[in-house]
Amino acid sequence: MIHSIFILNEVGDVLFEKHYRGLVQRSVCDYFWEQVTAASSPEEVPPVIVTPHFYLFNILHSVRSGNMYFIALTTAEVNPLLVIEFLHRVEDVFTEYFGQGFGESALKEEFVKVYQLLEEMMDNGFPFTTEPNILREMVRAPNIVEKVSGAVGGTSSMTEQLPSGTLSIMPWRKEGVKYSTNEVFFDIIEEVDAIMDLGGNVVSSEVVGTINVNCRLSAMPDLTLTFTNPALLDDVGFHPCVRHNRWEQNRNISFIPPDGQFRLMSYTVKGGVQPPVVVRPQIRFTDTGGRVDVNVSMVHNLQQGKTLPENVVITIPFPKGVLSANLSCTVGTFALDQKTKVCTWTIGRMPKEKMPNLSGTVTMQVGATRPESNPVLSAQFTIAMYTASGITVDSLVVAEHYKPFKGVRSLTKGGRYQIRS
Amino acid sequence: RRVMMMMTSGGGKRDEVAELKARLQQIASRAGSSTDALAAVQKAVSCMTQGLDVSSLFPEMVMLANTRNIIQKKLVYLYLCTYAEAQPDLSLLCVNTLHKDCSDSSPMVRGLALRAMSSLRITNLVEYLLPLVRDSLLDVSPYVRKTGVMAATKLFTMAPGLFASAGLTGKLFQLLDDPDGVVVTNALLALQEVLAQSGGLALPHNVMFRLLARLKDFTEWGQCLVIDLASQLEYTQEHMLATMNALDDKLKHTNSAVVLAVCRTFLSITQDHAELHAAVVSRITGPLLLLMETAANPEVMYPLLAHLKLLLSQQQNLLYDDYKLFYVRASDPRYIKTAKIELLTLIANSRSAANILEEMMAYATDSDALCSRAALTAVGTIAIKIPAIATKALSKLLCLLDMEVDYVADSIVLVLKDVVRKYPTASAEVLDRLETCFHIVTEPQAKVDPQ
Repeated sequence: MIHSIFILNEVGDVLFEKHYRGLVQRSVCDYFWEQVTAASSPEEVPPVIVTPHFYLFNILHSVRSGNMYFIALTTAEVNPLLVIEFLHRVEDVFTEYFGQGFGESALKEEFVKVYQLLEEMMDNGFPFTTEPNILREMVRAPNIVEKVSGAVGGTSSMTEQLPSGTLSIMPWRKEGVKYSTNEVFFDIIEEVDAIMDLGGNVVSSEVVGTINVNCRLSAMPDLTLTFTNPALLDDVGFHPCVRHNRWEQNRNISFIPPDGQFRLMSYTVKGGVQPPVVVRPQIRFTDTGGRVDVNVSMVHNLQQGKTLPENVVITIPFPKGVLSANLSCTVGTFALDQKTKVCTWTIGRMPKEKMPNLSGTVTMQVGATRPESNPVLSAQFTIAMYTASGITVDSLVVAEHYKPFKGVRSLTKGGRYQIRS
Repeated sequence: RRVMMMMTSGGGKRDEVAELKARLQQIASRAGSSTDALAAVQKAVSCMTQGLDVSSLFPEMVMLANTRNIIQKKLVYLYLCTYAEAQPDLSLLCVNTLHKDCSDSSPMVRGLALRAMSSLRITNLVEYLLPLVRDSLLDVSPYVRKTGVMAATKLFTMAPGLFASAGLTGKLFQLLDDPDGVVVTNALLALQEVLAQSGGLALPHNVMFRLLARLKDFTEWGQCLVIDLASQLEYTQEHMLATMNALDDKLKHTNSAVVLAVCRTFLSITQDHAELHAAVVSRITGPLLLLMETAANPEVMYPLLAHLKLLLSQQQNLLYDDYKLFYVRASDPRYIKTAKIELLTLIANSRSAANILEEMMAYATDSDALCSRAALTAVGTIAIKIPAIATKALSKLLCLLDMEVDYVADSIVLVLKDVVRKYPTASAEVLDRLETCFHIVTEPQAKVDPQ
């Protein structure tokens, strides 16, 4: 199925290659590199590239120290989502082993582990062992103690016994987990995607939510989570550990959790979502310049409530013909980037009483034509202890002999939040 | 390019390799300390990773395969698999060690050796490999069994005749009842490959149902495979419902490949039963849209959009009311924008046409010329598809000509050509306007067409 996997850095050097069905020359990556040079930015490289003899799938691992591309080569027809999901799984496993935002140097240093992982995760071109729980027992994650003892005594980083997880029907949790303090944390993270038009009307809006769990519980706890208002949720997707029939019958989420961090479920809420942060722009261009007036306010229940939007940033991409801006704002600071002509207005925490306002004029460059369209603003924000959907947790029952500490937090973020002017 | 670079700086690197060879020889001859050996082997593989040619180290590396250190063994086998094809005679030297390792007390070593041996791709080795593979299929450890199944597939690629005469196909069928889910998955894969030339894998219904009943034993990748296989069987109405019930909760899986596989299978097995098919269509809409919304990255969204386009071409009434989900965001990469625009064209019906038209006009002024063209072409397609909206579409297109932007005008003219072909009554008005804007149209094709 997948013939080979290549990992490239941002200038096109092949860092790793693993062949599952016979050797393939590195030069195949040239086809890929052609697309990279033709694209305007790394994000614009299409994920599927068709060449006369094979298909190249790629995902971008974007990190400040230098992007990397994970590429899979297939010769026959294959389910593309399977390939892309697998590449992302490889990236996730590498993140677990080498840290969030791992870069080229981390992989080069640990190349032995990289090869071991690539070998265990896929055999003969089909995914083999991808469950992090089981991989961790076959290939130990690097840590300082091991590095030191390895340098001194030459101990191997592979175990002699088979991991217990391979034989049970619950591959996500192994036996004999022990913690001195038993605790479990739930993070409800919602992203509000919305498009609003210039009248302040909502063209489309929905909430996409995920519930991430950090589980530090001993033995084999059986958890049951109930919401006060499960009917709000339109569509749900669960981690494989969740028992579906309990959800169907009484909307309970019943599961034996994996150890550590994992995503429990994702859901969407479509109807009746009020965008929490309301932006009202009024932008008019003339032949020589333009007038700008932007107001930001909150939805009613936030105004009355205890939590306020923070890290509020409004981005206004002015047309390229704009020369300079003469603006003033009542709250926060703003900056106009001279190269991209993007104005970033950082409001920070929304004030309870005042309505932040940015207004003034812009001047066009000499000889520039009047822009044919008004800019599309975007907004970012985070609101702690608030869910845009209104979903709340009613209870969480842990069936075990101990009494664990349970914590539930929620956070709402602005996702793809766009306002047309 | 890169190969050239290596050759010119070859001097220094070639010395490095020669040095390494000497070092390895020393270690191998005196059965030196294990840390030395491991470090040297690591160095060799590291050179290999960087693209250096270390094939001259082959004889020394073979000798170092004989070690209790699993990491060293693993690295040596990795090296051997890379260079064995070029050195088939020397590769036979490692057969002894590999053979010994296949009966090691540790299942990980047995599995490792089996995998390495079958990946060497040397036809001379198949006689040694066959009995080892046959035994591995009956090993007590599921890890060895599942590695063995994959080794059997590789054996088949190298020597199909030998494979057949050893009756391995029959053994693989037996493994479909193995207690370990991954062994079963691998057996299915193996059978697919082995039977590809002789009509493909045709699973009897009872076997299929047994697999569906224990779907949760399989990894998500195995589930994808079984679900796809399920779509290839013929079903009675009763069986159809049973199969769909078994698969229904997989629609809530977080792996998008699994969900899509279920949707495809549902649609394909009910295609001759109109009522059931309609029910299936409404059942899968929700999960498909959830996938769209929770797609963590554009790389997953892209094949999803492509699949949806395919589904729409076979199933017209999918997603009619959920078109807003496919509205383009300014932050989408170009390949997503154009995919969404195409999808919107397919979904548009008389109810949604007006709204979609407004959206398209907003995209038409995108600074990216390709997106703008895609949006304008979409307007034309919608106008031709839905006569009720044609007049409005036409007037909007003509309005846009007033803006006098060259790439926009080019696209509009090309689109107008097609629209006018469908609605010749409008041609007079269109030709009038075209005359006035002739001066801004730059693309040669656009200039010629109105004539």
